[in-house]
Amino acid sequence: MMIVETNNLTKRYGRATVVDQVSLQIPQGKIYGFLGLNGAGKTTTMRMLLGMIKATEGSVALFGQKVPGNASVWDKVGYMIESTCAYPDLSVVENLNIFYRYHGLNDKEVIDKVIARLKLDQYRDVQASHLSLGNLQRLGLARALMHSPELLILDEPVNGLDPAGIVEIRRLLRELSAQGTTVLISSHLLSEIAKVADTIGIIHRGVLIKELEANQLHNEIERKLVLNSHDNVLVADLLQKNGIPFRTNAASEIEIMDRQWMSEPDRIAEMVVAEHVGLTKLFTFEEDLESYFLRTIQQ
Amino acid sequence: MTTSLRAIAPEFLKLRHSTIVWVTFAAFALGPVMGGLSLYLLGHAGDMGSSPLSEKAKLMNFSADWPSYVGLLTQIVGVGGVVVFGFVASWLFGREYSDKTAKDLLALPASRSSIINAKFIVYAVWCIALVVANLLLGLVVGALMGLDNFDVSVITSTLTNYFITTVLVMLLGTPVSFMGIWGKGYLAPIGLVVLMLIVSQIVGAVGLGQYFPWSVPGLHSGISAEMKASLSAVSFGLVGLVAVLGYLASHWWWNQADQN
Repeated sequence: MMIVETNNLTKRYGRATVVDQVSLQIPQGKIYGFLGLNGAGKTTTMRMLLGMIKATEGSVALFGQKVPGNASVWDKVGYMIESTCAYPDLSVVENLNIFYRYHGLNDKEVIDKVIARLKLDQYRDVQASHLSLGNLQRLGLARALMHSPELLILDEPVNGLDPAGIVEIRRLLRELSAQGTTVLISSHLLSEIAKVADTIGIIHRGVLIKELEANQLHNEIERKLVLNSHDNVLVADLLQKNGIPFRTNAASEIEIMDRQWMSEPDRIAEMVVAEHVGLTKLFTFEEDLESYFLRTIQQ
Repeated sequence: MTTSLRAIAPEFLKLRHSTIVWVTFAAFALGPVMGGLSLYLLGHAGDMGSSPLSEKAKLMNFSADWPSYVGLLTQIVGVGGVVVFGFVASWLFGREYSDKTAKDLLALPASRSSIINAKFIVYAVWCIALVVANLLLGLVVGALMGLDNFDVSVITSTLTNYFITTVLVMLLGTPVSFMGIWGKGYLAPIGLVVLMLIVSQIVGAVGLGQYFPWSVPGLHSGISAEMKASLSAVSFGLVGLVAVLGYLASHWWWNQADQN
């Protein structure tokens, strides 16, 4: 059974299609990274998963149960949607106490444990209105985790966190996933998602344009050997004669995409120099994750 | 604890440290204090000369005794209650949007309906606490002023009127709560309260107050015996109808509308 399953999930507001036939399947214990620019449809999809907004078409099922349906399914779900907000007059512990009651929990220790886990100990009696953005985010995560949910839905959870906090949350999510918790996490930063997710789904203008396993990402990243010389016409002839595939870029530089030749730039250099052509540039270019993401959504 | 009862305690917890609670008690307490002051001035008009408050009290046919004073407290509930109870409902239902916490209440094992019902329970408790506090304050103020004619039977019948008026005003909180959810904040519900007060003045002036739900509590509070006599089952039925529609609309919107 899939923990999260959507089938052609679509949301339209008038003529604008915000989410367009998104079908997701997330098995137990996996971390699914939902990647997209701001306004791509990530939050709307998450809101539909949580029954906050109704799908125009398609369906959602969590733990095999149709959403919206029986409220008991929310016992197994923890979530944080958009920026974390809390009751401003209440302290951290009082805010958590409210959700402790909503979940009908019976062990007050869970509040202390989750406060310790999210490193909020020194802020436990501080009013939410006095918390920094990062600590407010931690409070939101604490609220989502307090009842030990089997599914976590987190919308941009590292927003506002400092680098140490980001690493901590990443570690926490990995730990939870190892214990069997399924996580759906959204971000507009591929570099962030790539570090934590097992599967990455790229959504653009409401359409799920690509799904790939995190270990596939390495193969999808564009790599090339970029070469420039005093006589690129001659070098191009030389490459052609040796059966080395290449292309010329907008700056009239030569780009070699072939994986084997890319790994042997020294041989290319030797060939060119042997023809008495001076090399002015020779380097291996590896596309960064953000460029890959932008290239993907532009395709 | 059943899931439908789970939502009640958190609603009360949310009131902790809220200055707004004390603000409503302080605002509502102005009624008995100012009312007491005007009756005091009325009772001592000979010693102190006339004042706008005592002149107003005379115009309203008041005398410096217990039945008049409890009657005045009832009128404060009938008119002032529309504002203060409306403010309470606006805050209880609109704050979740103003504080941006509404989204955190939508996917919980405590059902959405139970959360709305819990808010209505807090609303009722808060309103009752306000009128009881005003009554107790009124007793203290009345005793300090040494009001005459403390007749238990008269006071009991006046108190019955006081609490019926309270219930009528409380019922009018449900459309305000709907506006809080629909308008996603305080502005729309407070706007509704102000609008209804203005309309009730106009409708009352043309003599049709008995058919306008927001005028009915004021008329029932005894602003004038003649106007109170104009109330009929239709008047009370209209208040009930508005209350039921407001309650159902609140539930429907909270359960069915997209919460963006």
